[in-house]
Amino acid sequence: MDMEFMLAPVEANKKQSIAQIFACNNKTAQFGVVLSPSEAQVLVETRSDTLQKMGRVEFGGGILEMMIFGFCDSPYISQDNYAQTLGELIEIFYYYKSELEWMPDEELIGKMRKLFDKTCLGSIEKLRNSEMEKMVHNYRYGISSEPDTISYGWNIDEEEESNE
Amino acid sequence: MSSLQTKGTVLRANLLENDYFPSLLREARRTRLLSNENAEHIQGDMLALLAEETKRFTRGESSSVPVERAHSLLKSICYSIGIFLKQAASPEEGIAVLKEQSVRELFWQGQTLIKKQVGIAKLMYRQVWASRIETRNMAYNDTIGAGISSFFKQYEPEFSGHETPAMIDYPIGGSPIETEGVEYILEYEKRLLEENRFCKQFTAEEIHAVMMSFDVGYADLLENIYEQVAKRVLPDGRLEDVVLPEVHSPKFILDDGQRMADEEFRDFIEQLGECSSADEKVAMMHERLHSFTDWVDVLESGSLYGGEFDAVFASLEKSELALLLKETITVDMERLTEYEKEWKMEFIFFLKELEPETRREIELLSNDVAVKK
Repeated sequence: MDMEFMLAPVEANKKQSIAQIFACNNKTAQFGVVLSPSEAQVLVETRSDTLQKMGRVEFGGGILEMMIFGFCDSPYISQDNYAQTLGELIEIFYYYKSELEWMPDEELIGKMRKLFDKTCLGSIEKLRNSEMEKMVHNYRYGISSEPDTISYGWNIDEEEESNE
Repeated sequence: MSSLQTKGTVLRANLLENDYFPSLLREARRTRLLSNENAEHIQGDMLALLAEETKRFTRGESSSVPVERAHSLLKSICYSIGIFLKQAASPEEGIAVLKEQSVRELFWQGQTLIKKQVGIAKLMYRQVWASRIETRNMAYNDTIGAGISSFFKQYEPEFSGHETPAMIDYPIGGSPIETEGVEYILEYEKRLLEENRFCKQFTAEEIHAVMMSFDVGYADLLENIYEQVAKRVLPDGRLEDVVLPEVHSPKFILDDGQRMADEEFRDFIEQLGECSSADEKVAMMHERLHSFTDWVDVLESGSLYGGEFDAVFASLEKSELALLLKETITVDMERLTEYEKEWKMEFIFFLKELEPETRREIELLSNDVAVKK
């Protein structure tokens, strides 16, 4: 059975992903951050390139939406750095997912958010080069448990319901 | 002229036992029994099924997996579909089924079939175990013990049906088994059962003598016992004279030593049971037992458990271990009590853990020593 055709990104799926990301703007606008169609396309390409580089394959929409809602309300993200930061976060996610295969996506994004806000104070370089490595090291050697994750922007639906 | 006659014929030689579904698809396309449209539809369905299985594998918690994992999941899907399609009366009928049913349906029907076959393999394993021959050969004992049984604990039909997670070192006779997964285990067990039943016509001593004449170090070898025995069977069903039970007369005959009286032995066993550690038991045995027969009687009394056997064996000299080795090859396993089987199996496992040179030394020594009883 030929794997190559199955695992290469299909053009139709990319278009669907772009549309899905663009739709997230409806909810992220309240936090002052939106993505343009071209920025959404770049994110999808970044995802595709990173998956290929990391030797991974993804079905369906993937983690893009989860990442957007996970970070859109961070105090360190503004419209100026929104698209670029998301792109870097996606790269970091897939790199460390390979190191922490057992961890659910939701949990990993939660921990990245916690480190980004509380420890790295918005520094992507520090997240990528230092804090994520420390977290992996701690898990590998059972050194310490992670603090509780915080509430995220992607719980928007629950917040909207409770405000009604 | 029927439409089939305008198309090619499936070549059985192009169908692979361990890659049946993909090879059937290739043949179907080559012979045009499957149209390009059908084939594309099947591939699209396979992608959707792979996405579903990946989600099930990660319990919906991860949207991405390593390529190797996706590849393995795909192989498992193909294995399941293949095992079902092999049931068809002919490859052509299998292709017809492929056109009528979705790959999802075929996959789950394959899963049902695999689970039935695992059940059959478990029943067959009981027969294999019951028919096992008594031998010093480590690979045989390990395989028939933990080796095959580990398959039933570790096999995952849904996500890795094509894998054979079993520690099978013992080489089965005949041509190499081409299949994988549960099909492999079924074929292996079938052949092992036939070999065991054949060898059961002869005593453990006769089989031991055959193997010793092949190689004195056969205990460590990856060698098929049945093939060695079968070579030496005469037309009338007997083994060749060259394989007499006593191949080698011992050079050293040792006195058994002073045996305990029955009542004293019973007291000893009771006191042994009150010891709080393996070391204490070992020390007491060395202090109070002066007869080889008493040592064996203690091993067979059910007074030792698990790691205590190892502690006892480790405290003995090579010559003493050699004498014990002789004891393990004297009686047909079927006539042994549970305690007798237990210490002999523990002893075989203990020997397996020794350095190969040490083990060989003990095996050679066992030919040269005996106890005068």
